[in-house]
Amino acid sequence: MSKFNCQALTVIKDGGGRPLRVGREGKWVEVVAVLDRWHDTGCWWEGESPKLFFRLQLKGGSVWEVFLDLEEQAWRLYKIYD
Amino acid sequence: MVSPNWPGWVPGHKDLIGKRVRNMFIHLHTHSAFSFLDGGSSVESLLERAAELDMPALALPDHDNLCGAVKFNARARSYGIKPIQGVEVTLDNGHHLTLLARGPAGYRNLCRILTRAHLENPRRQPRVTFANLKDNAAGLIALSGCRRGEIPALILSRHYAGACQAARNYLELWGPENFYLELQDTYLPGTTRLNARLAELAGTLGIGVVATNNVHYTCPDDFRVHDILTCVRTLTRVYEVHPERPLNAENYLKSDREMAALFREYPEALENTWRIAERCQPALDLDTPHFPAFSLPPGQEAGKLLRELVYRGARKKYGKITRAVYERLEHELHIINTLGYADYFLVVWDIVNYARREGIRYAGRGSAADSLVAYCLGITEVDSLARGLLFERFMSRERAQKPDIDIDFDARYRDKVAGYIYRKYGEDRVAAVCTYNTFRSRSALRDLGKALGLPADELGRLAGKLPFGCHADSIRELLPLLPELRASGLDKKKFHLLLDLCEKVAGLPRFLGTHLGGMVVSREPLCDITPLQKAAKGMVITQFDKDDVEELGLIKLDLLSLRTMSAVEDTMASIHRAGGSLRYEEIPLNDPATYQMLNTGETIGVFQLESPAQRALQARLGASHLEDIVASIALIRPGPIKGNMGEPYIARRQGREPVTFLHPRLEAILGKTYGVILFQEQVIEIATVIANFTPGEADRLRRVMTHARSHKAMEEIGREFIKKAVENGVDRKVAETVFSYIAGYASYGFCEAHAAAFATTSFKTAYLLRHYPAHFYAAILSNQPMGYYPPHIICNEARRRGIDILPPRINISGEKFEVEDGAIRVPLSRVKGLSKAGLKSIMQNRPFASLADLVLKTRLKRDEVENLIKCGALDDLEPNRRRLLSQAYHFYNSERFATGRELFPLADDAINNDIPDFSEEEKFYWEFKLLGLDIRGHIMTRFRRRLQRRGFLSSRDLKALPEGSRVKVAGILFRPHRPPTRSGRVTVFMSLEDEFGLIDVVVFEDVYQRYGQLIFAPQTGPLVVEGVLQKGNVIGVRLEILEI
Repeated sequence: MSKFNCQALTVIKDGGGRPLRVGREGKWVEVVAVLDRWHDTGCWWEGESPKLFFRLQLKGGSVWEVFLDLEEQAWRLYKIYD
Repeated sequence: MVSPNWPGWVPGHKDLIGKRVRNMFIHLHTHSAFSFLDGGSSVESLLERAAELDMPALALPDHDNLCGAVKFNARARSYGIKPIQGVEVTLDNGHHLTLLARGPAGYRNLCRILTRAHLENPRRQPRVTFANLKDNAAGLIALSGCRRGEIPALILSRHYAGACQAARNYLELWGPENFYLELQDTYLPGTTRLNARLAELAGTLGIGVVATNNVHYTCPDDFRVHDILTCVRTLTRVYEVHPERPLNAENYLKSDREMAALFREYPEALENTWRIAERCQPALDLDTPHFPAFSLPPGQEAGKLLRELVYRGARKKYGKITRAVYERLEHELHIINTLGYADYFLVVWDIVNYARREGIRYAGRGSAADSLVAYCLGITEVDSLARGLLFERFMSRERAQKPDIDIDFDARYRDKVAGYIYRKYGEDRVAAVCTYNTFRSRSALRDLGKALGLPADELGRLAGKLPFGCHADSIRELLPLLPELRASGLDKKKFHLLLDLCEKVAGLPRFLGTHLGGMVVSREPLCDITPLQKAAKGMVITQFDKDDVEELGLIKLDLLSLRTMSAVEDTMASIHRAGGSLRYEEIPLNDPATYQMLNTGETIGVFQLESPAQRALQARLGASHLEDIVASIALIRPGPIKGNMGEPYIARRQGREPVTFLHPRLEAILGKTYGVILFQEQVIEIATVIANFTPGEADRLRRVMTHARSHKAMEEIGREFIKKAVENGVDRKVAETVFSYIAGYASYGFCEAHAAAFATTSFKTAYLLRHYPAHFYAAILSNQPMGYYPPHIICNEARRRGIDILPPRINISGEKFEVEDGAIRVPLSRVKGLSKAGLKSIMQNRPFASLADLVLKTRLKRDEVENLIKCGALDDLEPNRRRLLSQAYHFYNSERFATGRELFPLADDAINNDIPDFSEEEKFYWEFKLLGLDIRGHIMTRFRRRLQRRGFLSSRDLKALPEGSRVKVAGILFRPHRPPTRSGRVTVFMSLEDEFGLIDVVVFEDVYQRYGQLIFAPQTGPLVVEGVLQKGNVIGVRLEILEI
């Protein structure tokens, strides 16, 4: 199952902007692989900001979907697949 | 190693090798706005950006069409960018495939593929079969397409084996050299996996991969335009989901660096863009003329036959061939033959000959009337030699444009003529020319507003406030200028996004339309030159507009429908039925009674001379010969009005101002227009005589003036004019002044030949009005819509001239307006809701003795019968219309009627015989509603007494008043409009209609700002105008709606 979430995250990126490590509630987890990424412009007619999504395979086996709000430049957790 | 050279390329490109070193990527999958609602940027914008990005080449595979190809070719060359022609086709399985032309042969096959895809499928659903691809695969490079491509789609749906088979099929068709798998990375979910699979498949099958970006707009900012247009195309609101809507703003024209970063893992995909671009050469052949071929008798040559026909015509027209005629004909024939237009003239001769044989009335118009050859062939009625018209305005060796022959046909038979051309020259060689319908303010507001989820009725109301035809990016500029627009609330915050988007889509193509009369006839099958598709009415059209078909070497014929020709034909038939023997061709062009009528300005119905501005001009000009009519037609155009050309012309014409010439050489050119530059031909002659311009240079000047209207271009050509004039011995000051006149004349040039061709028809229709008003107005009314005025104004004018308008009668009225004892009888065809079948049944079964008789014999529908009753068409059977309606009610509610059994007569007690008839007001209401005419007199008659008591004057009263009188008038508002003015300030022209005619009203900016809402709003009653009488117009100072 998957869980929706929108918690703030801290993300360490590489030079190409790909997440290397994600930090949540003071704990850091290493990114094993970037499984997918996509860009979603959102509801532009309502002033919503565009977002860059990543599906990440984390150390330990869980899969997280995180996004970078491109206007706020803030990372958030979107979904966790247990 | 990729070679830096571009075989066969490139004029004007200065730094290819440099670009090669810096730029490793070429965009091969770019859509422009010619993908019709699936592209957010113009060809120009894409090329401008490609040039900024230092791209040496660009491919433009729009969806299912090549509409942008010619413009793309021309603009790309001007940027030094190599244009690669292509198309992204839709296959019969719904998938996409990108095809690029390697050269002219490939382009030809693209045209063939598209033509089959369009013509063999329902309109707007072109589908390409594999057989079609197989038949026309040569000269093409195929790319597997976007995510809607067959192979990517199969991979995304995890049908890997199917994808593999599909790839094998394409590979077999095109071979490894000409088939590539497209890798795209536009940040969509699943891209990483998709590209990995595609690369794997490519490796397995030995296919190349190529990187593309599925470009749909120039910059990320343009994404919103693409998305909203997609909503328009898919009939979706922005807040609704649709699979074709883009997820993000990544489909822009990315730089080579951005693309290199995206495809780091696939360097070969980047390199292949270059390899493919290298192999694709500019594909449009613009050097081969495809003029039509006239089928000649064995052993005959086109030039020789043309000469024979021309001299035969000349002998008929002139009797004896004078030296002047001979020299002019020889001059023209020499140029025609040199430029290869002999066949073209023969084809046009053949067409008008057909029309003559079939008795179809026609008249040549436009610059073709500058040709004596055209006159001798019977293409035009204008004798260019007698009028001193310049052939070079129509055709010259240096003229860049192809000659354009326009012919007006009786509107009813224009399609018959077109049918003849299809039969004679081959259905595969004849097509109508398309037009690109673009976003204007009203269409943009409606379409985009709907997509944004705004209510349709609100959008309709707002769009109705926008001036017709104004640009979609000018709405904000208009808001402070137009009070009715401000009052509409369009400046509110909730419309800001809509107005932003309107600005962005301004001028972008919206759909493909059909040119009113333009046709091309080719000597080769057209599908080798242009893709063909079906138009809404079923005819076959090109995918290029009139300018582009000419660029491709085709030549256009304009076969126009002119209802005036139909009205003339009907007038003549009516006159002949009444025993008259007038021949239209023999109408004297010097008839004093006709000039007398023209001088009164009472010209409603006269071809080209009926608008308020023309009526005002006629009343002041004092026309006494055809030249005055020719000048009138040229004078009442937006340009001359803007340039205030009318006043000096009238003053000189009437001898109130001396006629002077800046240079003695100008007298011969401007003499006939009293020293005023009025015609394009005069500009060409002035440039030739004063500045020694060649005919080609002079024609360039004409085009700069009439088309480009660019200040910079005018300045450049002005410097050249003055320099060459001085070299030609003309004083610099004089040369500068002459050019300032030419520049002042810019943008309103009118072709004298065109004006002369129109003037003949104008005068002849004026003659018909003067001598046969009932026949003429009956014909005008029968051929609506036509001319400037609606039928009720024509009827009012007829009544003012003493012609009674008789109501429709079931046993008398025909299908057309007919003259009956000097009056005009309204036909049954005017009755709203009466079907063609119903009308036919009435005509076949009459006379009718009663309503029962009518219903029984014709089986008309209930609504049809009720409308006939309400408008008075059955008054002869029973004058009480409400009683008839009651009868009809019983008939149609009867069970026996419903089952088709005989049911008449009704028992007397079934109908209330005491039922009172409609009041006069009710009858007036229904007659106007159902006939569009006020049969029982003008509505203003009903208010006249009250109006008189309150000091209102009628249109008749105004004629007796002196200039400068203060007046108060009222009438039904007709056609308010705001033509461009020299000052840029708004001036509104409109007419008020009353029972005696029209009152022409002018409202200037300050008054308009106060009362604009009353003028440009749905009219709830007659409009009151208080103002001052000036030159026959009321200059309005105060307006209100009459309370009644």
